[in-house]
Amino acid sequence: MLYSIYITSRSGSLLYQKDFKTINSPITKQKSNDYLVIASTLHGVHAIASKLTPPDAVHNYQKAKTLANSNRTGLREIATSQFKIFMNQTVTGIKIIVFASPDMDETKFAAVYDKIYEHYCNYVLKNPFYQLDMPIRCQLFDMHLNSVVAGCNV
Amino acid sequence: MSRIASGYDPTAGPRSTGTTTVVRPRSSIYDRNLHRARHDISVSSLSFLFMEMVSMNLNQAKSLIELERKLNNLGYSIGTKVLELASLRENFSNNLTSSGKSNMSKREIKVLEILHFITSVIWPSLFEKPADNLEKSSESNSQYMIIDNAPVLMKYISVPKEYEGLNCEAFVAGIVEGILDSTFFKCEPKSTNIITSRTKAYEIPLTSPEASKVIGQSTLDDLPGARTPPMLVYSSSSVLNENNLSVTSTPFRTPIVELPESPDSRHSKDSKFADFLSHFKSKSSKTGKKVGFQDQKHQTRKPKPRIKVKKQNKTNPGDLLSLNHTKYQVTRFLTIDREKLRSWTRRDFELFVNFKITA
Repeated sequence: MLYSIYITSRSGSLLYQKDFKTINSPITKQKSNDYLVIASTLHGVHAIASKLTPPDAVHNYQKAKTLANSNRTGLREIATSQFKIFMNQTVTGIKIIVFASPDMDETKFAAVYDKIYEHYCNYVLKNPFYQLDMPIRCQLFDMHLNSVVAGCNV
Repeated sequence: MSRIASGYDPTAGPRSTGTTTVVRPRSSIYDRNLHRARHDISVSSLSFLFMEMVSMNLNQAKSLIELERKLNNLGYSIGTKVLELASLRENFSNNLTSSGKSNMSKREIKVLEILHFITSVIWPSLFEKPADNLEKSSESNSQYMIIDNAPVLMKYISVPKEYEGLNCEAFVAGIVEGILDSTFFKCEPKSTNIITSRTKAYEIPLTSPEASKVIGQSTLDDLPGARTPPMLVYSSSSVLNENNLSVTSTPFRTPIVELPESPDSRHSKDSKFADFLSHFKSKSSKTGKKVGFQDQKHQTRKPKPRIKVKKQNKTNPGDLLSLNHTKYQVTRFLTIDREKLRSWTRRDFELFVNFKITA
């Protein structure tokens, strides 16, 4: 089950946020300001986590020639008894954050993340009316995201 | 001094180094034959290109109508060119199958045939699929609609609310207009948007035969196919109604229906147009208002300007032949020498249509 999806910019500002209506969702509706706070907090925690990564591990990653922005060193998952938060960073530093039910695991999230990322590239970046680092307001993106969530929440 | 040591010796010419490698130019898509059956391009690169076209023009345009006109113009110049290529390819593939019967010089002369050609040949060559439907409008006898349910160029574009009424398919409407223009059909394509079913329709109101009769007397009439001569004069008729801006999202351009002879011959015909232009240019620089964009209330509240124009019309009949002020419509006509008109480019027409009139 997917509860909500956040997209933040590389500087941690909230670009997109949407809660999805599901039965027994533990996510409560927040004030619009609080969504910004959540997003930037997660952004900060992600950065802290990558700083806390032991230097040996970082060295190993660099030897493996992974991209600097790949999600190897940052925060990936926060688990509570009620829900899980997954986050992943794209090459440009955009973070896609997904709030999901506890039965969601990394492999399932990877599939969802790929779809969201693909729709972001198609329907947001190819839209002439969208400016980078501005809040995402694209009708087609909403539509396709809904279909992704609907496919997941069945 | 020994020349053998190293480098190229011009007296000896090129020497074999033992292992010679012949560098063949790799065949790129630019080297392929013009008559290729299939040609693939990436939808992504196409949409990125179209995205840049739209956003560049969006930055330059002052209004949505201007943006659509710019896109329309871009499409127009493509349309005039793509017709040649598409018909060349189409006739080539026909020749391959039709046992040597040559139809290289086939030219569509009927409205339905050229529209069918557009939907079934041009459309696949541009968008990899034929248009979904070609419909004749039930309202008007000379109005046709090309319907595309999932336009390729709009695949990734969602128009935001603040640009409601904008249709980026004005570009495709421009292509259709360019094709019809270069085949000597008069038309005025509109791109309309039916949002619920995500359908794009390209309306093509073709001028009625009566209208073309009036223009008549073109050298092109002698050609068998030229039922309608190319566009001679655009007149601009704008509806004085606020709703108009959202209803017709196309630039105001309608082919002229009448070309009355000038009753007065004081001026030479060539200088009349210059007079006409300068007359309005100097006027528009003072107030800079467009007649077409004023709403009706405004007009009824201030009836003075209309009277002024009428007076002007009386005192100066040579400049403006007639300026009909019905309640809803302003039409301006102008007589210009036909010979002069033939040398007009599209730019001239647009200049003529788009300059500002002050009431």
